[in-house]
Amino acid sequence: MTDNASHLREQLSAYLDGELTPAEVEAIEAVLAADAELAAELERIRRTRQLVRGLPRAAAPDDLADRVLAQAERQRLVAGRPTAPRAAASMRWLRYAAAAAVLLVAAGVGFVIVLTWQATRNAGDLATAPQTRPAVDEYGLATEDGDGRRADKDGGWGGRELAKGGDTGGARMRRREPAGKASGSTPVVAERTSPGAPVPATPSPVRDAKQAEWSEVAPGGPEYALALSLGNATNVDIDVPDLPGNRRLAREQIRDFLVSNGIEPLMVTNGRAQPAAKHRARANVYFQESDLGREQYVAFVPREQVAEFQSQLALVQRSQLALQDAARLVQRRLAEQQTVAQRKPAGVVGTAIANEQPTLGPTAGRSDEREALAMKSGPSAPAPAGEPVPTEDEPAPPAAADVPAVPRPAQPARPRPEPEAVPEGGEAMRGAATGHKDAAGTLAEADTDAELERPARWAEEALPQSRPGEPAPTEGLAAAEEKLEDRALDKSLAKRAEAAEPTAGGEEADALTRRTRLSDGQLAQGVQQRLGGVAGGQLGASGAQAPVQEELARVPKRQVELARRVLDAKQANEEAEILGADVRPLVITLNFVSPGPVPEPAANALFETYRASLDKIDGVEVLRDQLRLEAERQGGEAPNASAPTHPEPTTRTQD
Amino acid sequence: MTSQTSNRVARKDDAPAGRARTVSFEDEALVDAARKGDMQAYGSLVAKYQDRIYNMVLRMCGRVADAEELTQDVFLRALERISQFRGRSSFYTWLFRVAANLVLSHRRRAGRVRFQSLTTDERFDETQADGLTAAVAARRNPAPEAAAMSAETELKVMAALETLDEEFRLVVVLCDVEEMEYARAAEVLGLPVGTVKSRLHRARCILRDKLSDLVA
Repeated sequence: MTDNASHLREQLSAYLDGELTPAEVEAIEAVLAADAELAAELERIRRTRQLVRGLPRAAAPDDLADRVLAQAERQRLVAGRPTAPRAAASMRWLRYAAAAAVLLVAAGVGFVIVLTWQATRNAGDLATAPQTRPAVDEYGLATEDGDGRRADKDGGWGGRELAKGGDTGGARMRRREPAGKASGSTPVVAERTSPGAPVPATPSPVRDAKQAEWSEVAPGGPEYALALSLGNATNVDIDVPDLPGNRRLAREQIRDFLVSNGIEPLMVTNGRAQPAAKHRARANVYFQESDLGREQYVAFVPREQVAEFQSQLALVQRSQLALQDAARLVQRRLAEQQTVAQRKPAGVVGTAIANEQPTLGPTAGRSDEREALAMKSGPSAPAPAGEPVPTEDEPAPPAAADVPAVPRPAQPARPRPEPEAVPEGGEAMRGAATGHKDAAGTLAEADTDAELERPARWAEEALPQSRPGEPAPTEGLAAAEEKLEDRALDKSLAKRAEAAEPTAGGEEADALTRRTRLSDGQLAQGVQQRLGGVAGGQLGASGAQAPVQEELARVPKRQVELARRVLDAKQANEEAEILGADVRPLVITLNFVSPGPVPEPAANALFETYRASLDKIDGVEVLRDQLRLEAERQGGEAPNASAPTHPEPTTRTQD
Repeated sequence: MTSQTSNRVARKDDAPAGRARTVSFEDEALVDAARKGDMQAYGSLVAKYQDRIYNMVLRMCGRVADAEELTQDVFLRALERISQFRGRSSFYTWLFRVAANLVLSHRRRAGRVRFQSLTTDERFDETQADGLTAAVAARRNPAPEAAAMSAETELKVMAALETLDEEFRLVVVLCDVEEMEYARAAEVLGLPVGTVKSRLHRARCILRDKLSDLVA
């Protein structure tokens, strides 16, 4: 084939497509008229083209445009991707800046408390929290330290890994989308100069640099923060006793819950987001923040599933509460032990403690705990196997006649809970949360005690009033009785919450639980009241707005007014936007609370017992089964005898 | 308004018969509105081009599920970068360029996909059947040859198409499936027009050999 013939053949496609110049068309047509082979080739190419062009046109899904817009909105909410065009973004940033300003000037009263109140509760100084975490006060989000590392002494999978992932993710985003810096985001620095957007109080070059970087990488931080501060977030707070290993276990509980519900992790920390492509197409992702005193998981979940997830999380909540109460029981025992030790020779103390131990249960875990306590207190006597477990309300007869009666101011006045007063469902859930009464009797009893309003705390409060060798003063008893009456209301509220939770979509239970929590202490109460005002009514059951008003009174009036307007508009609009995407933020907060002065051996034993009981119930799946059983029971069906209320005795190994 | 209307008509008339027509006037207005935060305007753009992008992506990746996700990603990516769209080319061209880049990177990430014989492979159902079934069920091209094409022919054509390397396949998809002009395809691909021309012819020759029983 000559070069000219080859060239002509290559022109055939262009000739068919009308891409040749008139001169070229004239030339090739002249050849085609004379060359039958070339004409046949042209026909084959034509037929080939016809076949390809004859492929049917598939139609895109009808709802593609809706999906794209919804996904764009989710990205904006979840990851702060700059999907919103510039003009709209500038207005939004103005509003966020104003809102952030209020959070700033409220300094320790506003959203910072939402995220850190549990962490600072133990410290007891809320006002200094923003100062101790300078990066928090910008957006109400706990952020990294100056080196970009996350301080997590427990070193679990969460904080450190996510902090690392977030940093690298941010770098990737910058590298891959350099132009995004100029497109969708308005640097926070520029906002500070905008009218009505107050300047943060203490300029910091490091913080400013990080903040600018943040706003360039993912301007979703303030957006996310504000979304959470408004009323559309569903909050689930879980107090996690800071016993050795329990942080990790609590994380695993939450992660199991999330993953088992198909909620996928997103490598995000501190508001920096680098969602993978496969995540961008989905709404149900979560990200995590960690701090010394708390960890927060924010999952964006379908709205209709929020109530179900709340119910599932309530089980985790209760199981951790049981552990907390068990720790308090230990404290009470120790307090009693100390009282006895002051009144009796040391050799008797061990017996006294051992005789008290059956309330901690007959399992291996309890025996270890007894040993642990005995290590602390002296020689031990074995607990009589097979004997009925005495409770606080029915104290076992003293095995040793020389053990004096420990002052228990609350016992005489505490009403015995009626068995029928406890809903079956609540019992089942409690059983699920704590394993079972036989295998984890410690926790079950502790849980019961918890519902009977923290006897350990009363003991702690009453015992110091009694002098060695003397009975507890009458004032102590009277005070305990008063507390008992007060907390009987809380107990009934808790029961109502428990009973209402699965059926009332969690909302009533949530409110009731919050009311119950308000009685937990003056500090918590004050915080809750403040939150009720600042957090858009999310915790507004308390109805106490005075502290907020006081704080806001110290803020320049213009700023307050602006922020109020912004928040009102935002609250009205933001919820509609989120609901429009059919997702709602579910905020799970693990508050690592100090269990109090529990000796390390006892704490270890306590946690081991707890973990063993959880191992028995095989995690969230069983919890979910329990929930289902409970729902069935409430629906009128007979209780399922197969509910794991009496599994085999727990065996555990001490690692 | 008069000038705008005449502008639209002029652009329509510029498009050669049988070619894909882009009414840039409407696009410009919608893009401008989308840039200013009008998400409904962007939704209109999505609705306008979704079928064409989807077809192009489907013919490139071969799976309905992937095609839907990729099409969604194309529009999301375009939304993210719409502020970078300067209007030097038409939005239609720019959008196809975004799609082409995304599809190619997707295919490279997923590794070399070897398409099996559609008529004999047991995994056919997992690869092309869903796409082709949907394609058969979807609305058809009004062209007579398309209406006359049997499902078996479609399978063969798709199988032949899928044997092409990416660069050849993309040219065929743009020029024959999307029926773009060479110049526009070159703009989308960032290639000289001559390269598009030669690649298209070579691709058609390969297809001719693969489809010899149908072509003869």
